[in-house]
Amino acid sequence: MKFDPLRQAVLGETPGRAMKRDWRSKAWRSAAQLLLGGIGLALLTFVCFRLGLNLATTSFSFLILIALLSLMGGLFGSVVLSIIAVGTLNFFFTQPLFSLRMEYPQDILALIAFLTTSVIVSSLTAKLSKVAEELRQGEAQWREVFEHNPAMYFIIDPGGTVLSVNAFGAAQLGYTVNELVGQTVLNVFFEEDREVVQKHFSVCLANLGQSNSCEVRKIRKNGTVLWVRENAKALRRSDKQLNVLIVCEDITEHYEAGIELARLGSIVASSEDAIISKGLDGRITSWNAGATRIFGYQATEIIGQPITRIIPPELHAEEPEILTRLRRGERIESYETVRVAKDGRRIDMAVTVSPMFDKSGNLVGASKVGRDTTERQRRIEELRRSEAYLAEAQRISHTGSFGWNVATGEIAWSEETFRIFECDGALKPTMDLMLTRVHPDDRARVRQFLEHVSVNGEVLDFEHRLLMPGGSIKHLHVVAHAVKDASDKLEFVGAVMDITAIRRAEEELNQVRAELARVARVTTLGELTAAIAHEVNQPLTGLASSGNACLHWLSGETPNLQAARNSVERMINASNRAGEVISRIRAMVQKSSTSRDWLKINDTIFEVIALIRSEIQGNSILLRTELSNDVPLIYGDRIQLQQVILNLLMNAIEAMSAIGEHRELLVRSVKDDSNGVLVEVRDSGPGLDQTTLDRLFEAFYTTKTHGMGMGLAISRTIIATHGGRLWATPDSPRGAIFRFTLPTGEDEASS
Amino acid sequence: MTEGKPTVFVIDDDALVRSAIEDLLRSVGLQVETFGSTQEFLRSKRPDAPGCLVLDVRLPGLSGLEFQHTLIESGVHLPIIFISGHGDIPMSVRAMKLGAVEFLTKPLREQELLDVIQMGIERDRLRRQEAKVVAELRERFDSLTSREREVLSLVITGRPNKQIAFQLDLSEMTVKVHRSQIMRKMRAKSLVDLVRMADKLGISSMKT
Repeated sequence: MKFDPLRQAVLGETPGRAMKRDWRSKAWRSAAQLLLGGIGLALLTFVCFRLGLNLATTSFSFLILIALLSLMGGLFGSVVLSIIAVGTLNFFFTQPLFSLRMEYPQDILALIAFLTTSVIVSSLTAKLSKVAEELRQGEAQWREVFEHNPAMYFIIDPGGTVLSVNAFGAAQLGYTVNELVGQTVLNVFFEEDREVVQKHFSVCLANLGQSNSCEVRKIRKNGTVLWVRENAKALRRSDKQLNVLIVCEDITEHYEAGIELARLGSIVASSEDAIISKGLDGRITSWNAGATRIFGYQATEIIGQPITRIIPPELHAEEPEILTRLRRGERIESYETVRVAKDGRRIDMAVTVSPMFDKSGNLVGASKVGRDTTERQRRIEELRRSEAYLAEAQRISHTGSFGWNVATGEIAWSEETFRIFECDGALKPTMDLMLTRVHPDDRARVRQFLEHVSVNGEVLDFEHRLLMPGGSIKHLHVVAHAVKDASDKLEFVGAVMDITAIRRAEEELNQVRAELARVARVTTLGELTAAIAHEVNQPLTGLASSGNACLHWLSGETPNLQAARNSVERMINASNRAGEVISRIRAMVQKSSTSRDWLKINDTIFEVIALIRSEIQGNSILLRTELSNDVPLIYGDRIQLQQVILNLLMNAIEAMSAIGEHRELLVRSVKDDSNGVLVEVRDSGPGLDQTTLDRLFEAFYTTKTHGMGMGLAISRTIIATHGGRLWATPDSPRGAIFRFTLPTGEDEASS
Repeated sequence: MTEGKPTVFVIDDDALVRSAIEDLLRSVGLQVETFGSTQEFLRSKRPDAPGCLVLDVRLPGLSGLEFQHTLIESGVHLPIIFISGHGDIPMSVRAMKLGAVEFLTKPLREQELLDVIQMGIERDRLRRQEAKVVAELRERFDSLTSREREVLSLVITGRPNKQIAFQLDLSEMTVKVHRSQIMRKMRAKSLVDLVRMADKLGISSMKT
């Protein structure tokens, strides 16, 4: 057998070992051949002898036997068997029988012919079987190579059916060879890529003998995808069959590496930071968009330029030192430095420098990542400032903020919230801590409210009080809205406002307003009367004094007539003056009525009600209003009419303070018969008796302890100057009704 | 010693009232001087005669009550009669406490005004007399030597000469001489007289 390096490579055999094994099997086969041949010849001899067959026939059947056995064994056995056969023929079938002597010389010729033929046939058979064996081995070797070569081989017909695939190829895809053969090859391609594959095949079929490649995705039996490079070539076999040969290479790793590289590239490109690389000669080799943005140089103009272009002159000395460190393979962690932009502007930067090595580990340059910290510094500063502003604003406005995660019960308070609750900032705020501060009277309500919103996630908006350890009370206004946190849990974010001061001011304001409403009515009236009294008193004093003087001048023994006359003149002056006072007051009243304007009486009523609302509430009075919408506009003095309504309402309130319960006040406005307005104030007080009713509108008539008895008198005057009427009637079963009418005042307005 | 005719000063910013009051007072024979304002009154030279001041409470600038206070502080002891259009009780109480003669409201009743003015003038006259006596006594007291003043302060406590001599470390004889000098200089007729004088002068007895 020949030495076959391929076989050696595939089977891992050495030539010596192979030969030894070969020889041994050959020997066994020869022995078997000889044994079988011997038995066969004996049997044939016996049969032919008994049948009395002649030499020719017997030798022919011997020849067949030897030829057959030569297929099994080697040439040596066949030769031995041929010689034995010649001997047997000589002994049993040539004359004289049972002797090796030969009577007829033609028999010798026949035996020589037999032997020659037998040897030739045997040697031919041996040669043939050897050739067949070699062919078989050769094919097995090639098949092994085909099956185990680490590439996927497919042979398909023009229709795409798999004719053959190697074991490696099938295994790569998770199939067995048998599962693939006979199937369409498209099944193993990723669905989206099938069209590409078909096109690829058709290109191959159109260009016989030319190999084409493409990169597509294949899909394994288990559904995973791999990227392959397909080299395909169509060829017409010697039997005229058209086949496509495909070699596939798994390039998934390369492909992913490529994607990774592209991704890194896009990161570098889109980075806000400047990412620059430089060679050992200090020249810039790459420049990203971030660098362009920060420094102002375009990549095209700066690549190839020395790095010192962006380094301020006084820092040029840094470069060699950095280079030395890089050579030692050190990475230079972020350090703060200054760089220069194209326009000469200096930029605060944080720079990190890393050495770059080639595949064999040689330093080829450095990459620099630079961040413009000017902006960051500014932002940090801004953030710090805005935080400070917020804290300060919270402090000034007494507004703290908080967060409440309903699911975890976690609560976060701002500094001001701690201050409002007067809790140590080191404490962890909890719901219980908060509730201990809530005023005991409000606690149940607050708890109920929180439970309610924690379920519904509604906007949280309520007020409650706190009872501080010192015993003081704070009023809080809590506003929060629900948000969903990252894990979709309910969370409240809100503000806590300390409105104690506002509440207190409101209460004070209410008190002051009530006081004012009461006082204003009295004092304006009081001051007016005092002023009138003084103005009238002066001339009266003069009048009386001069009158007395006149009497004195006349009553003397010698009456001083001249002096008496002077006194009388003074008296006349004084009375003129008194007259002037009266006309001046009248003028004043007339002047004040010039501030008339068109007004809605309902608005005026509401203004007054707003003014005395706390008075109404404070006296537990039920106020009802029935204000008609179709009342006409009134041309009147808003302030004066307010005074009238205020007066009527305050009288009603005071009247009802005497009764225990069922304090009801009704204010109505309707359009009256003469197209004007009728306003009615009805109370449920003790009512009016006949005497009171008769004198009600007289000046200085009052039923009140501290009343001046001027209110209704003045009110009636005001209504009268507006051309209306004010009157009172008792209500049944009790109470009083005050009504006034006002014309629209169109005549006056137009005059 | 002659005394001028009593004068009534009237301060009222209202000319009509002012002249009417002046007319009335003149008609009963009183000397009257009128002023439109307190400043005018302060600037005027007042006669050395008993008098009284009729003052309107409501005046431009300083109110009548404040003016009363100013007068007291500057040592003018003129009796004051307030007149007012609308005097209230607290205002009049305050005025009376500071020594006002009366607080009248306008319109004025003639007799009441005249009576009060007479009362005021009388009070001023007494005050002036009193002041004159005290001034006389003060003159006499000033003529005493310091030793005599010492002795005086002990005499008015009613101590016998012996005790005074012991206390001042003098002989009884010397005390007697001082005492007769004091009686002579002070023109005191008796010890009782001397004690009353000392009282008027406001001299307190020397501490023992």
